[in-house]
Amino acid sequence: MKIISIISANGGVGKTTIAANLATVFKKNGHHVLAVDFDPKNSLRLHFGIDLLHTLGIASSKQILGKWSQAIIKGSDDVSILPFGNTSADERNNFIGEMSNNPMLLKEQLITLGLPNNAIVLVDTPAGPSPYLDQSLSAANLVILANHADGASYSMLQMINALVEQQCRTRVDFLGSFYVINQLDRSRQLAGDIADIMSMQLGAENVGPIHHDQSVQEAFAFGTDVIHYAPDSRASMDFIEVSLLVSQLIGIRLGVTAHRDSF
Amino acid sequence: MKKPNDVEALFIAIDEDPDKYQEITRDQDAVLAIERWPLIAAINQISPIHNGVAVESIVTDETGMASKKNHGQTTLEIASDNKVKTIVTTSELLVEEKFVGVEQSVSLNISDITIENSLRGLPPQSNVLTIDTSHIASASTEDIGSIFKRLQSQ
Repeated sequence: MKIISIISANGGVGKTTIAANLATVFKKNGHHVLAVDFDPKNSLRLHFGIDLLHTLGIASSKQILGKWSQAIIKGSDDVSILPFGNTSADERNNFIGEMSNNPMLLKEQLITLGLPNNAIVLVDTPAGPSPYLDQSLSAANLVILANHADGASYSMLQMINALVEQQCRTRVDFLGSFYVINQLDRSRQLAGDIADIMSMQLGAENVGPIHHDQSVQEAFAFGTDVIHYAPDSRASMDFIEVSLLVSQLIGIRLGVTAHRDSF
Repeated sequence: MKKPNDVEALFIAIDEDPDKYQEITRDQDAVLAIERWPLIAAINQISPIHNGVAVESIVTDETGMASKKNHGQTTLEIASDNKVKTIVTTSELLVEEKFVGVEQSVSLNISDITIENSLRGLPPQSNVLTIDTSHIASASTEDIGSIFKRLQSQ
């Protein structure tokens, strides 16, 4: 089992979209995939066509004996989803208490699921420092840092890198970090500059752009992901390219190919 | 972003490591890009972004010339409130897997430092606090508060 945590310093940079589309690409390539919604917003399920009235999740008090396996539900493309749950304030507070009592709650619960050795677990994590981020980093084999190509994301890179460093780098099972620049629009000077700067400073092989593409928003409104909605779109190609780069980092093979002429 | 396949193939053909390939023009563009945006330049002046911990610190020696240390005992970071935050670690403490952070022990506006160094005729890289790390290394058993008071008085 390889745990990939999708994190960011700032909100609204597309972590859930990245998690959903990577999960779809990995699943379409025959891998066992579990997408974990570790965010109280509970929105990951919306990318997989799950019934809006579905309320059960990992933080739901309806679970019996606190076993997360009961909350797994199949989404589109047969991707396994572990929703956060449609929770009350009390349920969220109880869940935070559980995390406080057990800093390895997420990893331990994922292990108890008994997933195959080659399974890929994608963890959608709320933005910024929080108990959720601590849990996600403690479990991660690979971290994907989601960013926009703007000053807000760049100014927080040092902070979020330091958190990854503190919680992950000393672990022998940690494979590294990968940076996604989401909604990149190179027609804007700042966006192009930030992309170039990040590529130079973080290593071009560690940075993957998802170009701005209206197909992504349309796909979400359509109740699916862009891989299905617009398979030939620029964003779909980008997600496949990022999946390929990530697959190399975690040591798995993907059957798809992606060809892009430029960053 | 992957390397262009033809360049990678060329390096292999001439028996060189493809990882040595560097996009010089792109890197030059990135350096210019940093200078184009004041906030981005300020972040990089204090502590450049790396894939991993910012272990590369800029330390000014006795002559006022700046140098970089890959595993320096002093790391300077910029805080979100536009203040300089100083974090000091010592090798001995790192070995013991302890981390000593002294937040806001020295707090100056970046613009103040820039102006001061400009007046003193120091290079831009010296827009950081000067800390003699030998004092820190030899003072690892000393109370951290007194270390800073002593360093600030020097």
